[in-house]
Formats: sequence, C-alpha cells, structure tokens
Amino acid sequence: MSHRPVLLSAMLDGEVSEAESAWVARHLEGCGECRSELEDLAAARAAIRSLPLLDLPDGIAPADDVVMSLWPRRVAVAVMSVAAAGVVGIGALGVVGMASDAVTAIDVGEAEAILAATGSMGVISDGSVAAAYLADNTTARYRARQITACRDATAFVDNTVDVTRLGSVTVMSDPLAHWTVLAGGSVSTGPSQGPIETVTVTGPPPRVGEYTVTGETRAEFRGRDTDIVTLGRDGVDRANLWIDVETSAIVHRELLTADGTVACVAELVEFEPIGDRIQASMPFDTRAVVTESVYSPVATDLPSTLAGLELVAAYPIDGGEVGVFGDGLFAFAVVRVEGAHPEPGLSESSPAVIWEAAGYSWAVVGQLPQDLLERVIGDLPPPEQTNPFVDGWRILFG
Amino acid sequence: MNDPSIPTWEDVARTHGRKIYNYAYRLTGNSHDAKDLVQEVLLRVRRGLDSYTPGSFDGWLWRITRNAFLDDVRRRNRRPTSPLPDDVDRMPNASSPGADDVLASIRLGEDIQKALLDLPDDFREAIVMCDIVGMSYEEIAQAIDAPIGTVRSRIHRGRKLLKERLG
Repeated sequence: MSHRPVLLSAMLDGEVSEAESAWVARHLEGCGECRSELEDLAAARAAIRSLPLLDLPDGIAPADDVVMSLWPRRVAVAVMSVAAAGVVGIGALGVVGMASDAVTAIDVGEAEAILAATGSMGVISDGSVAAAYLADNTTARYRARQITACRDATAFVDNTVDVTRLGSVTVMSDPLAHWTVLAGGSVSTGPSQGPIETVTVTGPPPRVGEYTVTGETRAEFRGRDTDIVTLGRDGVDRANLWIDVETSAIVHRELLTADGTVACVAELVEFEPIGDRIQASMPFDTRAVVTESVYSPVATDLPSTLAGLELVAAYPIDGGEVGVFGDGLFAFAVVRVEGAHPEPGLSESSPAVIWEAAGYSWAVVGQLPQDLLERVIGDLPPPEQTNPFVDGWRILFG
Repeated sequence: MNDPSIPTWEDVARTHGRKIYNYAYRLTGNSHDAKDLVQEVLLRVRRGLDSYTPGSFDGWLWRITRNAFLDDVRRRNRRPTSPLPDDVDRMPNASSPGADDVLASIRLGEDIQKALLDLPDDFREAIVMCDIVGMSYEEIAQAIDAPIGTVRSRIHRGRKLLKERLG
C-alpha cells in the first residue's frame, strides 16, 4: 500500500476532499508509520500555532490621534456650505468625481519627488527631523521615522540623517527635510540668521518665512517633556511645534489653516542613532538642516512668490518645469507642462490641483491648508476649460 | 471611489495590520524588519487602492505583502545591513499586569521561532501563512502564485523539518 504523506498535513488543516479523507482514514488503520508521522506533523503544527499573536507596535497603525483625515472632512463641510449658497467651490471638487487617474500629462509623483529632494514638502513632509540633535565635533547617523498626515495623504517616512558639526552649527543632511534655525529659545528664521551663514549648502537653500513665536508652554507629550511653541505670521497662528526638551527634536508638528484648524500633522515616531551615540555638549540654541539636491535648478519665469511663499528653485521635468515654493513651514510645487491635460481637476489620489491655462497644463502639488491653496491657485493663470472645476474657480477667483 | 466593497486604507491598516505584522515578524524574526514591512505594505495598499478592482481583497493584499517582503529581502541582499537590535525599552512594561506572562510566552516561543527561521524560505512562508495568518491553501496558492499541490507539499515538508528541529 502506497503512502501519501502530503495528505496527512492537509488533513490536519481540513484541506482534503472527502475521498482523500476517507483514503487517509483507511490507510492509517493499517499503517503505523503514517500514524506516527501524523502525530509529528500535528505536534509541529500545534507548536507554530502556540506562538503568541503579537500586538501591532505603536506608531504603525494609524492611531486616530496621529492620522487625521482632516481634508476630506473639510471638503465635505465646504461642499455643504457652498452647495447651500448655490455655487460650486474648490472644496467641492473632490466630490465632483474627477477621475483619480487624471494625473497623466503631469507627473505629480515627480513633483513630489522634487519637493522631497529639495527638502520641502511633498506628500511627505518634514521639519520633524530638523532639530533633532546638536552634535559636538562629531559625525553620526540617525535613523528617523515619522508619520505625516495631510489632507487625505498619510505617509510613513524613513530617513537616514547625517549629522555633521560645521563650525558652531550642526548640519543635518536629510533628503526629506528643509532647514530651520532655532535660536535662543525662540524660533526665528532666515538665511541671514547667525552662524547659518557659515554653512555651505549643497543645492538651493529653502526659504524660511518670517514667523514669530506667539505662544510657548511646557507640557508632557507621550511621556516626554516638551515645549509647545506656536508660530504665527501676520497675526495668524500657523503651526504648533512640540519640541522635546532633552533633545530639541520636533517630535510633533501641526500645520494650521487660517481659522486655526489642523491641516497637517507630522510626528516623529522613532529617532535613534545608528552607530555611536553622540553626546550633546552645547545648549540647543542653533541648528539647521540642509539638503543636497539631486536636481540642477534652472531659470524660470514662474512667479517669485505665491501666497507669500517664495520660489525656492525651479527644476526641469519632461516637457516643462517644477517650481518649488516654501517658507519653512509650508511648501508646495507648481508644475507647468506644455500642452493640454486630459482631465483637469482635483486629484483624489494625490494632493494636486490640475488645470489648463495659457497653453500649459498646471498642477499645484503639496501640503497646503485650504486657505493657502486657494490663494496659491488664485495667483496663477485661471483655467480655460469648461467643467465644474472651472466654474468653481471663476466663482471663487473671478 | 466609494465602492463599499473596497475598504479604505485606514480599514486595511486596522483590520489587517496586526496580521501583516505577525506574518512579517515570524518570517524575519525581528520587530524592526516586521514594522518596516507593515509600513511598506500599507503604503503600497494606499497607492494601489485606487486601481484595485473588487475581487478577492485578501488575495490582493497578501500578494502585495509577499511582494513587499521579497523586495525587502532582495534589497537587503544587495546592501547587507545588520538589523538594529530590538530595544529593551520596547519590551512590555515589566510593572504592568500580566507582563510576566507575556515575557514568559515570548521566551517559550523563542525555540519555535528559531526553528521556523531555520526552514527554507518557501516552507517558512507557507507555514506562516497557514498557521500564523490563518489563510486557506487556496488563498496561499493565490498569494504565492503556485498550484495548491505546491502549497500542500511545502506545508507538509516544512512541518516535518520543524518537528525534526524541535525534537
């Protein structure tokens, strides 16, 4: 009588047909060897199944307090209020149902990659790793992981951060970060700020806007002592930063819309040294993050500022160019490509608004709160097509 | 967009995140790689949901998971790195109720985990999908793109080797 050992395992799992099961039962009656093997297989199966089911560690699953789908909610509110007024606004576009694969002529992914490479914010953002450590005459590498949620986009980002001491400034080279200078316990910004001038920046230095500290309180955040610093501009609070007291890492950051609601959240969920731990021996009063660009900037006739955010640099892409705008807290890219775009609108799969104007296809890509987004696209050439998006545009921007 | 048969990314993370993590942990034997894999899978799911057409969602998800795992293995092979040791700080809080039980069960499982890691990759994968994730042979066959006979054989041979190693 032949043996069919493979059936024994399958039988334990209930993965045999009735005929096979009957065959195995008959066979086992007369075969001690297979009975013994069945016991062994059952023991191995039970051993594996006895392994505890592990809980998902914190910082992976989108905990409600970290990952917020704020934009969809805002869009829904906008649709309701705008619909009541009998008009279709920008906020309604996501619901109008523009195809999510509308991004064909404009490669939004490329724009996001450039945003990331230039140290500004694409889908992925940063700032979180900016103020991580101030090293003392040391080069070290860190691995940082952050989670960012903005509009309907959520990203986990793994960064390897190089920390090098240059003069009195720590330079942290991080392809996903832009630099920020924090001085003297307050937050001030600008390329002319103190020792930042001693730093040689490879690639374009992202601009940092003139934000002022409008509030500062000490509070515990996830078991750490943190200073919550609120930054404002033109009388409007724009960001809350949770700065870890011990390390000065920005462990949590909220970007705010003009009405104070949270538009984007980024949180450092891990930050650990790779290799030797470096000792901080200076007060954390000044730090900077610079970025190496993989793109070579080009001259452009794109506007030099949009919604108060400066043009940092422009880069060539296939058939057009990308202009990167930023002020240290907010950043976005304007993509301009020659020719028409098949399906303009608000891309649901990516934070982009796409339209045609003046012989180009345009896209705005980035993590902008709605009020800034509306100001940005209001400053760019208006669309020429006829569709609900354009109607909404004309109502909003004339 | 709002096809009710297509889960949202958040749904996937909540309902499948733990399974994916356990799958990854048992395949890799360390929590760092497992966490990385879960994050990668969730990113791929989010990117892919737009183009997902209703069908066997689990089959689709596990194909993504498996591909992410294999990509990671290939990447590591190209650029060898030693995984960071699991930080003791991340162990369950020793003062919390039941912590001793948790630690004991983890230690008890160490020999089984080690035996699992010693298995050939194909066998380990099939066993983890079957006994840890709880997938049917048909689901495993879909995920690894192989006939059910192959699944049967791998699980069987894997269990035999495990028994030999566990004594």
